Amino acid sequence: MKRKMTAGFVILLALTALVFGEAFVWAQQTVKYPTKAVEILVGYGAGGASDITARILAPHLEKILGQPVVVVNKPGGGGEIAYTMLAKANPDGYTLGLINSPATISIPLSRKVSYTMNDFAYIGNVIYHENLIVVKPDSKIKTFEDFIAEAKAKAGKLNVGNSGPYADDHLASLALQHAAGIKVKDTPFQGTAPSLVSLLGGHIDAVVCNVADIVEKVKQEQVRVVFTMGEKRNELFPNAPTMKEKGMNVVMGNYTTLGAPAKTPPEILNKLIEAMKQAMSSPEFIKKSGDAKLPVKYFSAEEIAKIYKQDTTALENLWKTLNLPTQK
Amino acid sequence: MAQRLSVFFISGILIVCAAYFIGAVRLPFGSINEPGPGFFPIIIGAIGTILSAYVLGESIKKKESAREGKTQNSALLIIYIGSLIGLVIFFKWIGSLCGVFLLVLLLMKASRLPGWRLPVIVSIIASSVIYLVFGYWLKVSLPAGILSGLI
Amino acid sequence: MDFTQNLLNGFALAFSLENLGICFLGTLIGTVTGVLPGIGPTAAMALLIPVSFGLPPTASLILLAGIYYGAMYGGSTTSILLNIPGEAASVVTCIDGYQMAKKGKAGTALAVAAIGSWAAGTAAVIGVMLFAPPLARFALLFGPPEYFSIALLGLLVLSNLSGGSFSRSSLAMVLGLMLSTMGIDLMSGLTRFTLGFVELSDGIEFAPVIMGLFGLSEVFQVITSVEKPSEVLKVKFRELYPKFRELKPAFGAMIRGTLIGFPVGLLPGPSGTLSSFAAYRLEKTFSKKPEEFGTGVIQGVAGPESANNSATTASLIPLFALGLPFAPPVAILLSGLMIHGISPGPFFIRDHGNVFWTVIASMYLGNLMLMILNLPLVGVFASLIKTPPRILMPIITALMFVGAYSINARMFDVVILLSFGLFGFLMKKCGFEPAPLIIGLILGKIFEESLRQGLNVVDGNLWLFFSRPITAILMCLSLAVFLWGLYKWHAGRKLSRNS
Repeated sequence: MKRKMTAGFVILLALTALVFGEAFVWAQQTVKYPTKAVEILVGYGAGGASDITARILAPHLEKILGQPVVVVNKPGGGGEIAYTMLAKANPDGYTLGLINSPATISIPLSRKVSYTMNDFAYIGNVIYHENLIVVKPDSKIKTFEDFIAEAKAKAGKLNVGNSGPYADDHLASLALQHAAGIKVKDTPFQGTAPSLVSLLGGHIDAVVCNVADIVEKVKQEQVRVVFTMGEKRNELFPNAPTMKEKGMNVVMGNYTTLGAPAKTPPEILNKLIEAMKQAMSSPEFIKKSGDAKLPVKYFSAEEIAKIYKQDTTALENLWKTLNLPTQK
Repeated sequence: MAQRLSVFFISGILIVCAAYFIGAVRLPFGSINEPGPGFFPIIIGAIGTILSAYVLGESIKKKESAREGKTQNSALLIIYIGSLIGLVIFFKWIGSLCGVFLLVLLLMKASRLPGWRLPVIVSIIASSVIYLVFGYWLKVSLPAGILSGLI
Repeated sequence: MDFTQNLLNGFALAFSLENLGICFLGTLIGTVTGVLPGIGPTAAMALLIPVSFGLPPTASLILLAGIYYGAMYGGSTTSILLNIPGEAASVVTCIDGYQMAKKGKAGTALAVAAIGSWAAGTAAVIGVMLFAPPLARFALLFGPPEYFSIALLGLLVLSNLSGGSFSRSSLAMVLGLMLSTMGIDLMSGLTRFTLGFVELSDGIEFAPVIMGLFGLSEVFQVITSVEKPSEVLKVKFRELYPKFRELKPAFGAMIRGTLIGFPVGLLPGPSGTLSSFAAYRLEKTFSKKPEEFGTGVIQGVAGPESANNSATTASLIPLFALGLPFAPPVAILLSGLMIHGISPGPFFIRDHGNVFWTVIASMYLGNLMLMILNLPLVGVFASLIKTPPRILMPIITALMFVGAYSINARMFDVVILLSFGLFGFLMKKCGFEPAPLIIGLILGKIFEESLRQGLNVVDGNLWLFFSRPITAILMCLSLAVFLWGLYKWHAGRKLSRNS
């Protein structure tokens, strides 16, 4: 019995020594970056647009940084879990994440969360695509004016599917309704894919979504783009006008940005910014992202910070003007 | 004995259903045309509460004989639960390799497996295989814990 | 479309050494993830997408698809041997499969699962090959109101799956329905019943609930019973292999399982799981001795196992023909394709015909490979259960611990596992069946969401809702099932009053 106790005590002592030894060694390390694997947190499930973006970007960053770059999916709460984790992560440059506008900005406006936009530092923007409205090819809605007319004729019963309450496309629909003075029935789905299923089955009239969601479906003649909410016409859909052309200042789109916790040291941040610039201008990245039909659009850290600031103000205004709910 | 357990258990369920119902009432009910987030929860909360009261009544009235005539080995169950909770708390700190090793070893010894050689060997094999399959092959990010720096 | 020519071309390409090897690798990984509790084909496929980058498009699709349908083979192994489901779709196999194992018929159960899976998988591939486009168009006819009526029918039909007290089964189902409402509400964006946990904002994960309710509770059951481990009959190794006449009664079940699984696979949601439940119910209904179900009836294994393979394969139809994923693993297949610049959809078969036909051919081969892989190992697996519980239970417990953790790389799911393990243990001790809870959990979400979505789409016009042809048929069926259930309950009470 006594022998067992002594043995146990010795083991405990050894374990303690091990723990303290490790801590000592760690503190001695000088700031050299990166010396181990870097994580990119993605707030959406594997297979989605954000996930593919991260997975295409990661190998190129890996080549430049010289350390493994691993994509970690942390889906939940429309991205909230990943954003929260990124905000609270150790600012040592080993945890990065994808941030989105408007999603990252709008979630705190709609409910109580544990992060703010000030918790992030931006590295560079990867994706931008505008929102747009699609219908079935045989739909009688052919032009922007048709859409407005149908909406008015059906007096609030025109079904427009979106990918979830207060998702970027739902917000786009709200902005559209406000600017055009119409009311439609926003029908939420768990993501864009189910909304497209309903559209193709003829159960709803239209879907509001992003370019990447439907670019292939347009090619295979499954849906038709009626109009977009971009700054200018998208060359993929030359016949679809923008709302701006029609005299309404509605520009709604989705940015996907690589970010880090706000307190990340500037030297590390700069290294990442450089790495990202290089990665995104490499020909293989351009080819691979082109193959995957990703709407790549680079913005530098300063540019995107400005854009996010503008979007934040715009969204706060939208919330106030439309009296959108806040669950606190 | 089994009947007392049933009564306790079902009472617990009744409380949960009632709490759920109260939470559900706080949500907007909406209308028949446009059901709100509270519509479904209120209905099933109500059904659940009533149903559990009914089942509770059933179990109080029925004289249940001891289930299947097996005797309980509750001490082992408590050890299982305790060590699992312990691993939940310390998993990040101790790492998956050591943690699984200790868990398997502890549970086998608690089940009165004689000797040390067999349990230790099995624990080493089990923890290594689990680590290799999940951590390496399937690339799940398992914490290295106290062994970080070594693996 | 010159059928045979295309198919033969496909086989020629599928037989290349590289493609055969990839097929084997994919199906092997799939089987392993099926056996392992917690981690499922979705995770494995996601992890292997980077690997598939480097492969040509056909090979990468063969790999990912192999994991997907391969997982439906592995899940039944632990269900039968240990009463612990490796996959949600293998939960039902536990019911009769484990009882068969206890009677020394583990080999037969495993064999029938493997053969049924092969038959169903192969038949389903034929269905995909021949009827993908028209079936996809049929699938599109189902909108929210139709999903609602199917969910309603499902709740009514599956409510009393494994017998037992009706009131307790219903209560368990209601508990499952309550669990399904946890999370962010789809229609309004409000968070419901998350008790402040951000991890619950997408709802509770199915896998740890199932692992806890069926797996961990079983472990607890075993360790607290003081039975001698020699209860497992001393069976000779050779006798672990099944005889043909033992398998014969299962053939009908296999056919029925395949037939019911296939249409379920065309619908969104966890079709593998739902089809296995439906097939079990179907077998019970068609059987001449329904009261024997739950004691080790071979049809109770053959039906569900065929159904889940059939459903899994059928769920590829909306992907190939429409480019729309109806379930998470299929979404990963989609992105695997998109990364290679291939877009499934109406033009898929036309523009990328050789990809389509090669994959189809490799699916025949894959199913065959899996059966060849699994059958000889049946004896080996069956003898594994002779391991004394004192060694086996700790290992299984650790496996489930890590398995639950590995779903989202977080401890929260392990806490769920433990909680439901304890809850399931108590449930069984107090005379509750855990299966109805799972049914409530899975169907609850579909039921509520499609009801409110459907009402949104028809703008509250109930007539428009119920006058849709498919919805109307399904609602009448539901009504019929409900009235039949009432009648039986009333007749049962009369009988007990008279006796």
